[in-house]
Amino acid sequence: MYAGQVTVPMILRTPMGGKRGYGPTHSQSLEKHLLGVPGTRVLALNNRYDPALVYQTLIRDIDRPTLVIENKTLYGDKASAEAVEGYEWFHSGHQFPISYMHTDRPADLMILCLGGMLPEVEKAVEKLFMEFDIVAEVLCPLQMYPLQIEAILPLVQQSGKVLVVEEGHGFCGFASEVLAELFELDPGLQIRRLYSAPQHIPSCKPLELEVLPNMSRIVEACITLESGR
Amino acid sequence: MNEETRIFLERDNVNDEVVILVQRFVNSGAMVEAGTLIAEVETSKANLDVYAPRSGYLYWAFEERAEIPVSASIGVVLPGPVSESSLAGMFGDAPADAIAPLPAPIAASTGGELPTIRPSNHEPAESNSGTPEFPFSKALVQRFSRTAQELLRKHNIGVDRFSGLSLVRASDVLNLLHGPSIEPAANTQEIQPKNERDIDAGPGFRRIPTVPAKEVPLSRRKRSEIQSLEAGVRNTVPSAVSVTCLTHGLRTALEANPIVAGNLGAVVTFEAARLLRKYPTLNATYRPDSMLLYKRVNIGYAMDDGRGLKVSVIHDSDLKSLAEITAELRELTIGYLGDKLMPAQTTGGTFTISDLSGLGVASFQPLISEDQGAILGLGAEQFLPGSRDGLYTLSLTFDHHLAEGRTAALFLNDLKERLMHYERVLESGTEAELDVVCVRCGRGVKDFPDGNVFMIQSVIPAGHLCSLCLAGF
Repeated sequence: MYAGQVTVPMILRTPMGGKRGYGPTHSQSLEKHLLGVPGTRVLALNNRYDPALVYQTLIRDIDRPTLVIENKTLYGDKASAEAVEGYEWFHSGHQFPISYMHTDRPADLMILCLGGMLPEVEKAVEKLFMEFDIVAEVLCPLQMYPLQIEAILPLVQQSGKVLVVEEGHGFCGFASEVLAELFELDPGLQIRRLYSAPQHIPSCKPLELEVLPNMSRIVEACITLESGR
Repeated sequence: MNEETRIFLERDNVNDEVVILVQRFVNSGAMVEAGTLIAEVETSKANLDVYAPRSGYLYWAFEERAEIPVSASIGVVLPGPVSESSLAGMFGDAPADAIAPLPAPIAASTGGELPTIRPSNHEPAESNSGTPEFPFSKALVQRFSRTAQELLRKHNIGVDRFSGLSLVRASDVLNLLHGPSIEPAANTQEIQPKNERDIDAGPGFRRIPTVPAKEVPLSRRKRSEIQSLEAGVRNTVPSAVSVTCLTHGLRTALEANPIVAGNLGAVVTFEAARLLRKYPTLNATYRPDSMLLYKRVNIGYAMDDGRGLKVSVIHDSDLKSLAEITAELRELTIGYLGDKLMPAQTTGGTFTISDLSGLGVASFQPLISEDQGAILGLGAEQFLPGSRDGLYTLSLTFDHHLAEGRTAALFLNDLKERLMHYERVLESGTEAELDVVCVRCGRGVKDFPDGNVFMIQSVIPAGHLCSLCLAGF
């Protein structure tokens, strides 16, 4: 509308996510409502890439409205690059990098996830290897929108199987978009997604944990994906 | 120091976890130009040259003859000279010849601390396209899955058998016990080991020699060769058959053949490839209670001029003309002599030919290679002094799981008959008789004494095809 003459260098930080027993009004995953607006950016912090670096970059180079979603469960964690044993974390050279938990053995599948789901995914990777002989690698993009799909695709193609895990609802969600774009680029991929149950978040914590994706469900989904069912 | 460029090795095959730094051509601390040949490394498949990735001062992380994890950097190129103390900080305190990787590069994160990476300042396009660069840095922690641990205990196998592997699964242990699994050609059901006698009892003890001896470590290439032969011996019940072929000079006849120009190996490969379609059990490998019949005929040709045995493979030999095989074998020989054979040119063989005729060997019993069912040995022509009549021997070692002596004998006699045709060309050959020859096998009608063979004009390939080649034999 203004021929690129106007920029809005605004950062909007917001907490999100469940597992705290806060009930339906404070545990939502709201990011899908704000994804895909041209000229904006959406970031999801995770505990394997220093958030201080994210904000340092943002404050220095901000050029558009940027939403940063911060999973509440990560507030109590200290960010570190500690990987599951036998793996190592790498970060791409993007301004807001994709983090890649890599091992030097051929992987059976790739798990792609965001922010607060990463600790659950790491636990699942551990269990998949120890109990089920399945080697899974992990991609955790920091930037949700614009999606760095061209960078993600070759890593997913290594095994040809990808599971996308998100804490929010599945309908028109981030996982749907990622899988749709991946499948358009490579119809030979085997794809699967995991998301929360299609209902509001219960206040009762045990029920809340049942509704949200967890380690057991991730393991189950990976086994299904690996077996080709 | 921020402009350092670490030197990583190109991975030329999936089997090697470590390679040997054979020779360093440049001293540590020397100035090098980009593209300078700086080192030679040895993998199980080939010796590779390493070139300087950029201009600068080169510092090595490993001594010569050190075994290096393939994911480690072997050195670094810096924009300027640095002191010994700076290097110590860069490479850590490990001895330079230790089998240990360098510390993680600057761009990689380190365990237990905040990532040391600084994001680059360039912003990808709006679509954020482009392949990310994930610098690989070091060997990873080794772990064994629960099933793998159970198998190790059950078969009393030491973890040292898996050095260089990070995540070891049950399939890795089973591969060690039974060899790597191969896709079956005729039967797609999963193959499970059933025969306990095939199982390696684990690492054996080493006898102490009773006389003084010097222990010399075997090269990677030799160890790879041993691994293949041991696997072949373990998986087969070898038996051997030989036939004696009378000759007036096969090599001499072939030297007069314009297609092969004396290349005996090419002719034998060409003829054996067609016969393997007739005798499929010789182009197969054994698995407990089943055989895997290969759908392709990939003939390996053993080469050894003293620098180490290598088997170069002519893939789909049965589909190629004699001229094509001659050209390919010549190319492979040049590659072997130049140490430039690619892994794809030395893997995937389904049958092997070992030719010791050039060394004057009368007959021998070659060893079957891993995941194969037979190997053909070619002996030298023997002539009495002053005599035109001579003989040579064809030997076939085959797996008695898959075939019997009769099959092997029929194969050899067929091969013998075919090779004799090449001599007859020379003996009967007038210009006119040689006019119409098969573009695949190079033989004319006169070469087939039984009269049942005929020539058919062909468009693709252009020329004439004999009815034998047309039928696929």
